[in-house]
Amino acid sequence: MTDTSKTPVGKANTGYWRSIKDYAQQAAGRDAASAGPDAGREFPEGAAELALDGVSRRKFLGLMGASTALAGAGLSGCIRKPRELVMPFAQRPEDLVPGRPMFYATAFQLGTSVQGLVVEASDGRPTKIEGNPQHPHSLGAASVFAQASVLDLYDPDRSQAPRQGAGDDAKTITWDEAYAAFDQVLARARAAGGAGVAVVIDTVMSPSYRATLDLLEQGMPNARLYHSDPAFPAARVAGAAMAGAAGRQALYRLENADTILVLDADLFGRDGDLVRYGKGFARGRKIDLSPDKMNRLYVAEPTFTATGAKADHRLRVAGSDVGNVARLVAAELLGGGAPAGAQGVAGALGTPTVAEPALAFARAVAKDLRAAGTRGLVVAGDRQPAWVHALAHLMNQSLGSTGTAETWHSVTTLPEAEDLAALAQAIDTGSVQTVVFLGTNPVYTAPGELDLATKLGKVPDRIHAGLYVDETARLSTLHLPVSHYLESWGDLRTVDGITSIVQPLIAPLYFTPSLLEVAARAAAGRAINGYDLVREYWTRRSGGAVNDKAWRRWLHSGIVPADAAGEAQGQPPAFNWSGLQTALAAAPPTPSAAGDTFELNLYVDPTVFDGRFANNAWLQETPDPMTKLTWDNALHMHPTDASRLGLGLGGMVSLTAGQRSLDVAVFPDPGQAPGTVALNLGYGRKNVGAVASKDGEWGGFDAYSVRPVAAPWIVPGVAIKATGAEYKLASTQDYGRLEPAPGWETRPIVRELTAASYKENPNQVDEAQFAIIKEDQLKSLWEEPPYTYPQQWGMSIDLTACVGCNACLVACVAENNIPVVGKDEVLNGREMHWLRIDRYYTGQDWDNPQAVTQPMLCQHCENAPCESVCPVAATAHSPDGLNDMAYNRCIGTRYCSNNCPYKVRRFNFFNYNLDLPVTVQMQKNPNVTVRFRGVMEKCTYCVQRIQEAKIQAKVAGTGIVPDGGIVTACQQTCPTDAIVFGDVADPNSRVSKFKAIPLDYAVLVDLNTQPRTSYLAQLRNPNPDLV
Amino acid sequence: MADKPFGLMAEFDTAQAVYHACEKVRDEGFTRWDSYTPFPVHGLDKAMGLPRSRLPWIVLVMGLSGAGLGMLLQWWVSAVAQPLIISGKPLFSWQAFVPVTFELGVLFGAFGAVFGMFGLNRLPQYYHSVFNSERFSRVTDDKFFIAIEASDPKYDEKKLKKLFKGLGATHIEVVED
Amino acid sequence: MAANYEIDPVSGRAPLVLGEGSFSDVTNAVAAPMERTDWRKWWMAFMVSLGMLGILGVAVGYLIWEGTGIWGLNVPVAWGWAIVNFVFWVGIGHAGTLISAILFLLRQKWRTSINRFAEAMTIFAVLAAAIFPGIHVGRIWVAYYMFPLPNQMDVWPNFRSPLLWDVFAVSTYFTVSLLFWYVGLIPDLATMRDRSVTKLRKMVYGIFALGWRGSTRHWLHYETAYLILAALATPLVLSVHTIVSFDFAVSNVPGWHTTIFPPYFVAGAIFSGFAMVLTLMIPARKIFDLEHLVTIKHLENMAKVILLTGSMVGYAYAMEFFIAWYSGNPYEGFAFVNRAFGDYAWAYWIMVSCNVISPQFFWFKKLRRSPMFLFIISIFVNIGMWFERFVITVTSLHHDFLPSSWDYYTPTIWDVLTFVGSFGLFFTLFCLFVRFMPMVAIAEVKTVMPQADPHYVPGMEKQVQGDVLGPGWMQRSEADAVAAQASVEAARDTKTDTDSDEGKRHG
Repeated sequence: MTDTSKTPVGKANTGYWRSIKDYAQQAAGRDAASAGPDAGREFPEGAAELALDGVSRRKFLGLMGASTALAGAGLSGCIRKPRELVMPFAQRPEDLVPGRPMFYATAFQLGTSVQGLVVEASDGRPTKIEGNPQHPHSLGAASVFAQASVLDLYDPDRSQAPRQGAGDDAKTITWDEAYAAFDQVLARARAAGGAGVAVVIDTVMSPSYRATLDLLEQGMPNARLYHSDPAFPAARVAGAAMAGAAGRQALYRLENADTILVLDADLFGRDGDLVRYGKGFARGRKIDLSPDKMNRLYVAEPTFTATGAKADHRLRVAGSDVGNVARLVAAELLGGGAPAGAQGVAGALGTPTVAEPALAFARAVAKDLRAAGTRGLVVAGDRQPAWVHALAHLMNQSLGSTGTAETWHSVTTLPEAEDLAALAQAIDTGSVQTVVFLGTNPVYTAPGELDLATKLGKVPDRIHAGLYVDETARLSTLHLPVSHYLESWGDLRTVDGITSIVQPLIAPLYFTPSLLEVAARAAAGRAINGYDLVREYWTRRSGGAVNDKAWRRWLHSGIVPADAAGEAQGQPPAFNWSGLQTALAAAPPTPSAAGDTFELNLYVDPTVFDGRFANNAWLQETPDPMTKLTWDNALHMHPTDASRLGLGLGGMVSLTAGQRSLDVAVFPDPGQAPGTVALNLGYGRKNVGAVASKDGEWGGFDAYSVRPVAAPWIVPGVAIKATGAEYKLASTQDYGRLEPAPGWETRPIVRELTAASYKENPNQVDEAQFAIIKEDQLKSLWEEPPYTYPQQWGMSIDLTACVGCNACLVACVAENNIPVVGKDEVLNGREMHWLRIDRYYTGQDWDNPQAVTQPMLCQHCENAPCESVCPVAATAHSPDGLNDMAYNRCIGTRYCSNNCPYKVRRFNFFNYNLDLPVTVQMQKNPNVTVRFRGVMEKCTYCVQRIQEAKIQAKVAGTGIVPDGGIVTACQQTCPTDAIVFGDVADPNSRVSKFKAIPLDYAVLVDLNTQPRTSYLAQLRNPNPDLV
Repeated sequence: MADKPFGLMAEFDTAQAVYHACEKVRDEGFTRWDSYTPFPVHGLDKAMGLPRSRLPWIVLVMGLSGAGLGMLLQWWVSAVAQPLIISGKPLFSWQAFVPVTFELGVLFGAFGAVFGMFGLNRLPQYYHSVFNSERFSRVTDDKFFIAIEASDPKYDEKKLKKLFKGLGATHIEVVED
Repeated sequence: MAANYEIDPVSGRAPLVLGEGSFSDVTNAVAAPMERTDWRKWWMAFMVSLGMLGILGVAVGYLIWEGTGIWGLNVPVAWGWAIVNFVFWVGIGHAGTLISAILFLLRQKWRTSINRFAEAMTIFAVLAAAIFPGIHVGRIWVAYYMFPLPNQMDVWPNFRSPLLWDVFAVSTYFTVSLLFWYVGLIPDLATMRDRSVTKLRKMVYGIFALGWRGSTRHWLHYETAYLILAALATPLVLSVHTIVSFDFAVSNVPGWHTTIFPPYFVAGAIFSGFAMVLTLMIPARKIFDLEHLVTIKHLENMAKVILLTGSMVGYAYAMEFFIAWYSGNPYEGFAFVNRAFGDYAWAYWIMVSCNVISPQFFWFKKLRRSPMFLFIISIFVNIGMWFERFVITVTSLHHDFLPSSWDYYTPTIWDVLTFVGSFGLFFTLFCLFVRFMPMVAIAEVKTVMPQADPHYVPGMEKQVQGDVLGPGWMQRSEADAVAAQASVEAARDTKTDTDSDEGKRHG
């Protein structure tokens, strides 16, 4: 087992090596990378042995017992101190049946958004994450980030032992030494009343954590708190303050709006709240939920986002022009009478000089919004300056949607903290002796011009607590690994006050404390158990009256009832628009940027977010919703601009913002506003793990290095010039249009029509469907054999609802043990995703296209072309109508893939699971085969879930699975419920009803493959005034 | 058997000579005799009065049984042993089974032809008395032979020698058994 | 050497064997290459071939160790060079049986000098082809699942799959070709046995000659067997490439899903097969002094077959486009436009120029009769036919139905080495063949010499001296020739002067 401890993990779980030689080189490379006495070892001394121990059977069962006890404390009703409950499996914990997965409620935080989760534990190992159906912010769905977070738990690159000393002279130490050093520094700090102490915290959404921080500050009154969260919506907070609602935050509820104007916000692609937005949006969008009225979405944005692709009207403007569009809309709206106290604002708006089509767009939107009245909503994006947010609030107030579509909440968990610029300044003035990074990594995420990396040298004591030995940890004198949220106790509270208890599913793999416990230790100077902290906090909070029964109910449902949180929610604040008026006056409309410089738009990444998921192989290989890029970020640039600079896909440019410049590869993106470029944050990390990056091969480009403090999102006047170098970008989709070539007719793969024309002629989809071959001509030459099973499975996918957010893709990867193949193999066209999301650019204007997304997975054709060509009958139909795949029969002729018109079959060209790290193996779903080299694989409709349900039905006696009794992984986590699965033989099942909708169509119907998966044509609801 | 020779062997130089010699020997009514040539001389079998080969019937039977077995196997596998729904096709989709049926028919037929020929010719037969003749080795080059076995009822060495001389045999010898 | 007469008095055609044609001259001429003493050149050729065979070993070994990923394959292009090479080799493997069987049935006596050679080529080519279906699968160690073997899992192959048809077709074809070849060899092996000086040779040839002694009673069954084999092999050879074409035609991939494939593939196979025979035969007849057995006439006849089949292939190319347009199916339509003008247009035009244009030179008799020129064109045809298979396989796959899944395919070094290696196997076997086997059917050639006819009368050729045939004689129909022979025999039997009606016949 020792060799596994030496396995180059990145290679192992991404499998992008080809030969033993290659393998050796990789190992060598990694050894070189890992500095200190551990050089040459994957894991530090001792930790490796721990890691292995972690899966040795004895230890493993121990963990299992512990996790059950800890996690199930509520369920199983054993309220004893968890650490005493690590028991051998000889005494089986109550409720735990080996092989039967158990589900525990917990919660997940990303920036200011919180999702309630239900996590599946297989034999004590958390394996799959679902949304908590009872949690209003997830409603049963989980975002792409939450889905993938389970992999981080098992990431072998996680920090596994404390380290002392910065940079090259860092060495791993024991926990006792670590705590001793930690306590010593903080004791000194407390003694000094916190003078010269800087605590750098992430965004806090946890009440008990906040309380602990308060305790810390009480202990050290002079300590200063700094806030490090590159994605924090500072403008939103400031905008609220500008509107006279300081300390409160607005929450947009799309379900309460019919006409929505989104000002540069990627609600469905990047936003931490995308699940909530998706659910709300679908409510007013989907034909089954709102048959008579369909909402309308306007989006103004500089780069192509999933939200823009979904819009009925997308206005492509520079990021700096979005504000001007807002002014125009506001002028129109307020012209008809502004709310009390806002009369002055209308005057201050000024008259921005914006070219068509923005003017027409603004007028039409304003008209439409006014018509929608209280069901009209303006959403300001976090990238936009404060005044745009304030203006949005004002518009909503004037529309009357405040309190319904826009609700207001006071966020009590965010402590008062200064920003990193202040920290840098403080360090410069030499007033900082001790800095404590609590789960933050400012060295990487801080704007490059602050240059914290060098400044930190001036601080004698630098303590870092975090999941990884990251950029900051490497520069710290003391580093404490902390637990993953699936290993820790805690609590989380959404902006609108819905609180959940975070309960662990497994004992810490590396005996790490949780961040909460580290903070508590810093405050109290002694170890406090996280469970006690949380439990005691809530006892205190609820006036000492949380009996065990209530506590169990909280854990069980994953929600602390509102009374416990004890706050009235959603009341509109008393607005005061004077601030906005002055702000507007201060910033008159600027003419849109011109000349040969570009406007750089920075975004958080839809897959690795702000970089915290950079070492998550699933997310690295998840294609960007629009560009389909994997393993890298790239500079989005409009093709005309690109060709002007003589650049193609992957052409390198040198980008200069202010004093700092960055070499980055270009991705020509027809959705990008000309004259602007866009770049995602979160890439270009070094030495954090085998997955995050490999020099010159993958990992992308560090946008933070060119991020200015003053303009963190929209950077004007950026100079770009081609360097002539080339960089390989791995996109999973090379051809982006439904026309095979210019001049050819559009292929009817994604069908799209307007709500209006659908109302006129509901049957047009069917009519169009049989254009090539008439329906009555579509028949087999022979009698098709009958399916003997009473229930027949099928799926319907609503393209109107699909926002292409990738949640289903990652859910499928997690559920079905789909291997990650690495960038080289993606470049070879060998990605393994069973479910891919195709993105097609549509529309006549190839320079400014619309876009559609289409989840493409095995269609389970009744006349499956793949089956008849398989020489060994490895793929055939089951009696319940599934296109089954027998892995151990497959010999790998790949003929089935050739003959699959949908190209949804995936082939194991190499053994992609070869020496997978033991910890990563713990994530694998025990009910799904891990496929070997040389076999074909594909979507099975989650056959393991189907069989489970059928068995339960048989046990129940009927043998008939009730409708909704089977939920596929993709369906379960879809934020817009676009996917419906069920029994197509039963006319009353939900899926049958969906297929009965006239919008239903089959892809490539003229091949008479009779797919069991069919789609509902995409409906758009364009504004008649704009078409 | 050393006392009793195998028979008398006459050697000829041309195909024409051996052809006419055979006709004569045939008309003389000999039964246990044979002629040997480097290549199949056109019509020599008629000249010797040999009946037609029975080989075609063997091949026919083999070929038909091969095809039959082929179809039977495919029916049994697809409809009986392993009744799977494949591409919504009938269990016994005979159209798809034609190629294999045909190939197996040809294969068995070919076996019938080759091994049937070996059987009828009693091949391999590494020893045969005619090999005892020194000169006989040229039968695979350019010489033609007629051998009449001693066991033939009408076998009479002297008479035969005369006969062969008359037929233009270039060399006549008695071959040991 | 000069012919002793311009035309064959028996067939009334140009003679098939030139020179002072005594039977043992033929035997000696054919046996000479095997009995020579100086083998240095041969060893050089053999070592080179063996080296290439070694490359094959390495390539396949690495393939089995690492997986099919070492090739350039991807999704959608899940079939690449392996399948291309398979079809290429199988195609070449067609000329042999065609020359032996079909020409035999058609009483084309000119086949006798080249059929042995061509059959050998067939067998070696089919062997080279047979590697690829075996190694291209993902799990080579369970490739035997394709055979209907009773097994503890009680699972069976799927007889609806064209790949399974392939398994049966190719293995049957190989077996029958081998039998056919061996049956033809038996009398010649006997000849070699009787010529052999060393004991070892005598024994080895003897074993395989099965004790053949040229008995007329044997010849009787032997000829029947040979005729029947030819009759069986003829539909077989047509069926094999038909079935190979089914691998594509039965699927639903635009560009594959075409009913014209079977005839088009068969024509292509004969085309490439004859080209390969020329490529091998032209040097061989020179090196081994067989020009009087493998005459210009033989080469010219093959050139004509190439011209014919080449034009058929060209017609098929054109017809594919027409049908794609005429069917009105946009997917088919795009598939073919993409062939000619898409990412792989270069491959398409190489194919067209090599396969359709280059054979057209054979309209000119001068070029048809120039061995050098024939050799060059035959090389072009070989290249063109490889590209035909590449174009069909790769360009159809790389852009099929859903643009989202489209991709570009590039071979890796391992694809190339495997292909080179397959030539190693082919040439290694060929070297062994030319050294140890009579490369011309000795006994059969003797049968087409005039003096082989039992009614041949020395000097009879004078009778037909009269009708030295004009340049048009090649085009004369079979029937004509038969009539000629009949009347010649008639003339001979009634020993009367037949000049007059001979003259009439050709007047």
